[in-house]
This record gives sequence, C-alpha cells and structure tokens, in this order.
Amino acid sequence: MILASLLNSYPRIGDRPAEQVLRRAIQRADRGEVPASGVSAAEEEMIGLAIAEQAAADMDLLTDGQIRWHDPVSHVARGLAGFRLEGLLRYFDTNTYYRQPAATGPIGRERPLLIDAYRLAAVAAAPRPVKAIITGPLTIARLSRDARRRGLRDLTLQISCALNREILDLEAAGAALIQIDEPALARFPGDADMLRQALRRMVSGSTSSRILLATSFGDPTPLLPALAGMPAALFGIDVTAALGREDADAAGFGSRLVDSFAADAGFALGVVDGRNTRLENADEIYERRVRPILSVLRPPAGGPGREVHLVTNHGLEFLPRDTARAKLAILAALRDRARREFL
Amino acid sequence: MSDASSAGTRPSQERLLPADLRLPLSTIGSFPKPDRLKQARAGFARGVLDAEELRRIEREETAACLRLQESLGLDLLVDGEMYRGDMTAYFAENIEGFRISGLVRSYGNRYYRKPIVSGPVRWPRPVTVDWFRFALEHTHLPVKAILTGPYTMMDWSFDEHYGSREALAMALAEVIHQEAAALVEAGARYVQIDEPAVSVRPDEIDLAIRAMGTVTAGLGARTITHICYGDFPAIYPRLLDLPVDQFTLELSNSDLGLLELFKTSPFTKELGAGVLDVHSHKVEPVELVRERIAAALAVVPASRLFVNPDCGLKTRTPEEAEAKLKSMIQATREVRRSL
Repeated sequence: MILASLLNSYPRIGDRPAEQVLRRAIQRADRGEVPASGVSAAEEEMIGLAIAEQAAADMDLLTDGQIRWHDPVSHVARGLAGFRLEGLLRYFDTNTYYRQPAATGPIGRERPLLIDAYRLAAVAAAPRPVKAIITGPLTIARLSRDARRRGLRDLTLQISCALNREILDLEAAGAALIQIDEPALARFPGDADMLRQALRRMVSGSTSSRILLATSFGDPTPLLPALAGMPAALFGIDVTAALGREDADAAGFGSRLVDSFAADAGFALGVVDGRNTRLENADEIYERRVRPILSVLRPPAGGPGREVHLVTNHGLEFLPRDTARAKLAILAALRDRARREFL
Repeated sequence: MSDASSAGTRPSQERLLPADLRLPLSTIGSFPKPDRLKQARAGFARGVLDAEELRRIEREETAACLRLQESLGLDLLVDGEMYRGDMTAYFAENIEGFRISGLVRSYGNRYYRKPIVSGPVRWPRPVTVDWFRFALEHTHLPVKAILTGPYTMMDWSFDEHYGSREALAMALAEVIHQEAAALVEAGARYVQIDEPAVSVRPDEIDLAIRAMGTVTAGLGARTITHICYGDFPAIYPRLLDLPVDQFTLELSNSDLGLLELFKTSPFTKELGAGVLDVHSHKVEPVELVRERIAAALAVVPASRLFVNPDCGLKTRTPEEAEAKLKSMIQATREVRRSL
C-alpha cells in the first residue's frame, strides 16, 4: 500500500479573503466584537477548507491541519492537570513560538483533548480516512520546565500515563491510525530508551488502532535501531534530512531501513521538504529519493508489501498556503508514479 | 559629554546620551501602529491608497511616536518602525535578491510574509537612512538605529538560491554592514542589530558571531544586539563573544530566569534589561518593574545597565504600550534616586 499524506499541520491562513476568516474572527474576538463561539466557528470553517484542499490534492489520508493548535506543546499540555503555561519560547529552529508548560504537580488528564476535533475532521473528510495526531510525552517533557524537579524521566512517564487515556478515547472514537509526534527525539537521541518505555505506557490497552511514531527536526539515521524497538506499526522518517541536500545514497538509506526494522514495519517517508518554498521537481525527487528507497523496501515476490506513506518531512504550516498546495501536488505525483512502478 | 537637553542645537553627529546618566531608558524598536496607519497600510495593499499618501501618514505617525517617547521621558529614542511591517520582510523588500512569500504564522494569530532568497543578495541603496534622518529632525534626543541582523535574516528566510546557511549569512552580513555604515555616516551613534534567531541553533553560534563581526567591523558607533525567546543556557557565556557593546534581552518573559544564568558566568557587557512583558496585556505595576531592575542590578552594575521592554512593543495596543512605558519610566526614576 502506497499512500500520500501531509505529515500533520496545514496553513491556517492564505492570501485570499476566504482563507483569512480565522484571523479576522480572532481579531474581532480580541476586540470583544464577537463571542468565543465565533472563533470556534471560524476554526471549523478553516478545518473544512484544509480538509477540502487535501482531498482536492487527492491525499489518501487526511489530517485536520491542526488548525486549532496554537503550538504542538501547549495545545496538549493545557489539557493536562499539573501543568501551568508560562512564557513563549521558539519552537526548535523555527521562527514560530510555543508557550512553555511548567510542570507544577502530578500530571493527569483533566478532560479529553483531541476527541471532538478528531470526530469533526472524520465527518468532514469522509469517505477519506483521517489520522489522529498527538504530541508525544518526550517532546512535551523536554520542552517543558520541570518546576517539580523530579527529573525528566519521571515527567515523561507521567505524561505518557496521562495520554494513555487519550489514545484509548481516540481509538474508541474510531481513529484507526494515531500519529504520535516526537520531534524532540532527533535532538535528544539519548532519550530513546526512556521514550520506548513511555510509549509502551501510552499505548497500553490499545487494540484496534495502529500507531505511527513520527520524528522530525533532524537526521533520523542514528535513531533507526532505537526507533525499531518502539511500540509502533509505522515510523515517520525525515528522508530529506537523512539524505541531505545532495540526496546521498538513497538506496543505502533504504537498506538501513530494511536492516533496522521488522519486516512488517511501515514507513511515512518525508520525501518532500515542508520547510522550504523551493518546489521540488517531482520526477527528479522520484528518481533520486523515492525509487531507490522503494526498490529496497519492495517486498519479495508474492510477499505482503510494506505500508508506505509519502509525506512532507514537516507540517506545512511553515509554508505559505499556495506553496503548501503545490507541495501536496508533488506528493500526489510521487505517489502515482510509485504505485505504477511498485504495485 | 553631551547634554541631551541642548543636543538639538548641535550637529547630529554628536548626539549622545549624557555620560553621567544612569540606567538609560530606551525601547527595542517597534511601537504599536495606530488604527489610521493600519487602515492606510491595508488601503495601500488593496490599491486604494497611493504610496505618497501612505508615506505622509507614516511620517506623521513617526513624528507622533517620537513626541510620545520624549513626553514620557525615554532617553534613547527609536523611530518606532511605523513604516515597517515585519522585521525581516521590511529589509527583504529593500535588498536585492529577495522576493516575499505569502503569509505564514509566527504564533497565535500573528502572521508575516516570510522572505524568499531567490538570487544573490546585494545592498542597492540606503534603506533606513532617510527615516533615521527624519527622526533626528523631530527630536532633540539621541536616536537608536535598528537593523535586522544577518543570521536572523538568513534563518527566517526561505533559501532557494545559496544552498548554504553560512554563505547566505555572510553575504547578508556584508549587505547589513553597508547599511549600518550609511547610518553612522548619517549620524547614528547607537546601532542595534537584532538577532533573535541566534539563540535557536546553539551549534551555529560561531557563524552568528562571525556574521556580526562583519556587520560591526569599523563602525564608529555603540553597537547593540537584541535577542529574545530562545535557548540561552545553550549559548551562554559564548553569547558574549558577539562583537557588540550591549545586549538588550527579555528578562520578564522568562520571569528573570536569564539573570540566574548570568550568575553562572559574569555578564561582561552592557545589559539592556527587559522589564516589561510585551506578550501580556497586563500593565506591570511600578513596584514589580522596580523589583526587576533591582534584580538586574544584582548581576550588572548600574554603569552598564540600560532599561527597556522585553521586545518590540508592536504586539500591544497603543494604550497598553504607553501605560507599560509609564510604569517602566517611573520605576527607573525611583531606582535612580536610590543609587
């Protein structure tokens, strides 16, 4: 199975007036001209637009674009007991910010965080499937301030226990694929053992859904053996970062994937750059990145094929909307060529 | 020593802060745009207002901003950046080699048009010098010139041309040096080169230092850099090797956490202490600001301490900005009396 999908986020604004309803609604709410429900309605409108654009680009698996998320850290932490939100910090090496949570007490889930948003997106996207997305415990712990001073490990494990209920609720809401985003892992590869333990707690009791563990913000190559031991069915790999600008030895990287992971492991391969406006030539990318890797991942004759998602290596909210749409078109073209050759 | 009160009668080249002034009061650069200016900019973008009319309104609001700063009691003024949009997009619009993208999000409901480097970057002409001269003509006080630094311009642009962060940063450093030199030629004695991106990639601090060295080389002015909202522990004290005289830093957003960091290794340069949280609607009480200044004085002596908000004030309403500044100025005056 070869699918095309964006990794997680999608622009929540564009240059056309219809793409600016959310910004205007928030501005009006700030001025007290509309109630908070007006913002919520605008968010739903932009989620609908994000889903419609993904469908129009023929993505196989959609996301809600994370339109409601102010940032990947505080959006989850604000729903957890034991956290207080503090000042702004830059989010990795981007020119975007996140509001830093401070862990001040025992961590627990106060209420469902993402369930309503998942249901809304699933209805809007039907019949196309939607993947649920949640930020992982290591990233939240690493990007938080531990005011309790009980250590990173304790915080990470407490977050994972709190998020376990969210995973089970997402599953009950019908999420067949749940993506756990762990961008911090590439920055802190020494945390891999701790993350494995945390993820086991986080997905404990899950039966019907599959987990996609997504990395980003760094070359995943040194992480491959550790990733292979994580409790996930699919692994998000930033191929663009792994191969570098010269697309060095894509076939060799494919072999490393085969050597590192179980035979039934699936991959979300980040083959299109979600952080640069430069539009890749689909034919060139296919020849230099996609074909060499898929040739190695190709199943033996008669065997079941691995599940491969061709994705952007980052969410697309870092790009202008017109460029984001163009990147989706590139993904669709890559997927179509890959299907013709490998299915 | 220059007497600020009579500076307007002197050649602009000599406009300096009084040497015996303690805790000079300044700001980071941007002030809130009044509604009429926002409407004018929107009208210009829609094509219903011509450039000359927009420029007239920008001039009026810049003059008003300078009057406000004087009346409040700030010592080192800025032009308020009424004519700038985003800190990177403004320069990208005026430097060869860039084009401007569609909107991308910065945080919450704030968006900007991120520049795209599509060719070799070149300095075509002075970009901010006319505005700097305009500011000098509208105040008797010294004015700080504000530029965006090469590392930040590089990091906050899409690079479709160079393919090398180092090559782009160093090319931009040459461009920004030319602009800084033109400002000094026009009389700037305080030049701030904003580098908020420096704290984001600790592994590139050496590149940021080299790029800043190119910008400030041979400038006959006090040099300042502004950095905010980043991973300071990862780059301190190496940060102090940035070749500038002063750092204006956000202390309030981090609840004075930076001052704790500075206790681990002496802060050897001038510090512009951020004592107002520009991302909060709440106006800080005078007492709170006084405490923040006192905390800064425990780390940096009064002879090397300036007082300013955490960051640019454009995130606030005009009313919030003015109220916050009043609190900052009152608190500073009280602390001065106790020195």
